Amino acid sequence: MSLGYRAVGWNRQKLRYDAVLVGGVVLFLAAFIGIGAIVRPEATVETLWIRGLGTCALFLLHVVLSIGPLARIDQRFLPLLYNRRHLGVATFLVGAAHAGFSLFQFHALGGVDPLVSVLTANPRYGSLGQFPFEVLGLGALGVLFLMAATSHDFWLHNLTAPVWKALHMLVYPAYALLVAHVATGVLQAETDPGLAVLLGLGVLWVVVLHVVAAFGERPLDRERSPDAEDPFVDVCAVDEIPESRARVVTLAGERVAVFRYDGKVSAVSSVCQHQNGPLGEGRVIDGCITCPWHGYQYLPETGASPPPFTERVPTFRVRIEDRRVLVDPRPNPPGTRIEPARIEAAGAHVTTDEFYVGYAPTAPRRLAQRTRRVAIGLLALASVIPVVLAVRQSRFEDGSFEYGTVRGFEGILEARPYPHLLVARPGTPGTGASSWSSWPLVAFGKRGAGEIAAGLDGRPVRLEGELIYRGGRTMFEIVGPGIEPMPPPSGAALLALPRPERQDLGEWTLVGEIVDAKCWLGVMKPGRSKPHRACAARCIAGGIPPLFVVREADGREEAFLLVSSAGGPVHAEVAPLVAEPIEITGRIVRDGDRYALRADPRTYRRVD
Amino acid sequence: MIRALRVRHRRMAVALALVLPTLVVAALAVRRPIGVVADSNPARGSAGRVVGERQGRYADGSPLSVRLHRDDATAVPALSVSVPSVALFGRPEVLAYWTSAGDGGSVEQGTLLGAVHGDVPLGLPAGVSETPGFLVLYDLAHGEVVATVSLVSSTGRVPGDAP
Repeated sequence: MSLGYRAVGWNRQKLRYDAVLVGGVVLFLAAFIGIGAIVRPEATVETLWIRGLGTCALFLLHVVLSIGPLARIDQRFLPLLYNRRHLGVATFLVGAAHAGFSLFQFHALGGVDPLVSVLTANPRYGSLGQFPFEVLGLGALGVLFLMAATSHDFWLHNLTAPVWKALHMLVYPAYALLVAHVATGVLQAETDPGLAVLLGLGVLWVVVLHVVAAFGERPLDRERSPDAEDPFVDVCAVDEIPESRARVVTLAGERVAVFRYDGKVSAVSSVCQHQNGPLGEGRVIDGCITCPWHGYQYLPETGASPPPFTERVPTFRVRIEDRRVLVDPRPNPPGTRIEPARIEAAGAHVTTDEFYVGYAPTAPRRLAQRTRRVAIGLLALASVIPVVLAVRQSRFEDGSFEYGTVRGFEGILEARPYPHLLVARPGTPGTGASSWSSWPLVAFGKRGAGEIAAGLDGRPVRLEGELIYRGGRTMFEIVGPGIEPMPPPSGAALLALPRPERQDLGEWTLVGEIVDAKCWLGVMKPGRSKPHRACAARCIAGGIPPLFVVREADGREEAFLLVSSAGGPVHAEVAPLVAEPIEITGRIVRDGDRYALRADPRTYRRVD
Repeated sequence: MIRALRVRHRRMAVALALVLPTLVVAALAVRRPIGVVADSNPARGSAGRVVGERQGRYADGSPLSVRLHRDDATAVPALSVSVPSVALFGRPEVLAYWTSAGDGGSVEQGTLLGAVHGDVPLGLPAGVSETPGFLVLYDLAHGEVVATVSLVSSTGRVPGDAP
């Protein structure tokens, strides 16, 4: 309880709680990224961070959602509820970090604002498997932000507890959105059954807990009504109420807590004014009814918090007849003093269960031991689950991106169908061997090299940049100005070499996946499939050459440069077709050592 | 919680219990692999029979195996060599050269056979047994030799080459 607004009313329990929370997050991330780097050394560190943060946020949300029903089912879990809001804020922060990395990785550095890209990069809203899962994650993050931003008691007080609680119940739709985000996102590409089983177990755990807790409370909500002659309602026998505890009944539409203490009985609303916690499950401590959630206190006779605090709850008139407790269901205004009913003969039984008050200097011994065990269990889960996830994720491609290593090359720039550099090969060409290597050129980020290469078609150039390669295929990202024409006569020797021969290899019908060449060759891991869909669409629309990757039964892959039936570039028109099974019928044309698939993009067909 | 919110929570719990498992199962059910094709490389399939396999080493010491093919369908039986593409994972374009021993393995003096690509065989010059030499794999982007393999067997000839 506090009188003023403070960022956090720190106490020993909160500090311990937060230390375990931070330790758990660090443990989770360290385990996922560390083990991931060991078992999947080909992965990029960005991917490990994105996946680590995402799975950590989902794990935290499972913990957050478990605490409420667990505390309803067994009050010994109440210490976990005391500082749950910090857990919620941490969930949002970790989720926001995941979103931030993903937004930059998959949507930034292109021709569209990253947030617009999230909403538009994948237009397949009508398909479950291809659904733009990023939008689901963004929606969930929005809800988590709203909850984190309003988590402080300032908002609780000003919005009022019912509105605040209703707002924070949006966590359930947010959870549903996140489960959908994972199921329609990464699980579309990660086919290890262990990952699906883990998500399924998490979902089952959460929904079963909530259903059990919700329906376990239902009998308490059965309303008791007075009979016609007496407005008072018989709620229970005096002896059914343990000393300093309450009996909870539903009267006039809401729960009422009937407390027994010091030979007296008083009835107040069971709804705490702070967060609408269950006052009736509290205890009378130091003469005050104490809420089990956050320890807010009220005097039993008045329903008012002791000065200087100002919270007040409605009170109810009580009388005792034949050792039966009778309560008038008509509430008195909050804080109204009502004389307690006196119990003529004492002899109440006393419960020995411990009661947790978060701001108390120490927690009761047995409860503290149990809470410690639960915390250790959670930390163990926070170290085992990420290891399972890291080990179970599928292998990444072997591509490489020599980011930061700038090299210089000379060659002839050709602008069509996509800008590429013809690099002269040393030695004497044998029969059928081409004198040239053809390396596609791209610019920084999700952009092709069209603008940079403008006006240089067919000219000898010298350029600087970074290599991208995979399985014998090479690409070059131009860095900075990075390109300059070679003045004559320095490029004359290059121009004198015969250009690569073109050979039409006939019509073929192939099934495969459209990817953007830059990411697939090594900039991204993974550089294909559903999780990468939006990035591939953005890259291709930005001018990066699209490849058609075909897999053979023995695991070998071929990548064909996609061009129009006239041999020109294709970009935005193929972007909506990335990352799903596509059938293309077209002519395979060999240019030197480069294979291109010529077909009209309008004839590309989704394979159902 | 007040009663109205408890009722809402109860309904939400039931809704989640119905929707989420269904959603997860449905999302897993609609997963589709990209699919495979029988053959996607028009340049493959013309290599002829495998007549030998030679072992070599990459510059970093790791083992490398190359295959020799002989195509008897041509007027003069042609020899070619293929390098398993798996050997090139994580590398830029690799060019294959035939260099005579006298050239000291220099690719500048060698005969360019072509780029190593998807197991596609690369034709060897005629009479490779007559001139002692090596198959050299060269990483053009990095300007370095990544492997050197002798194609000569213990008989002193290249397997499959005409006597």
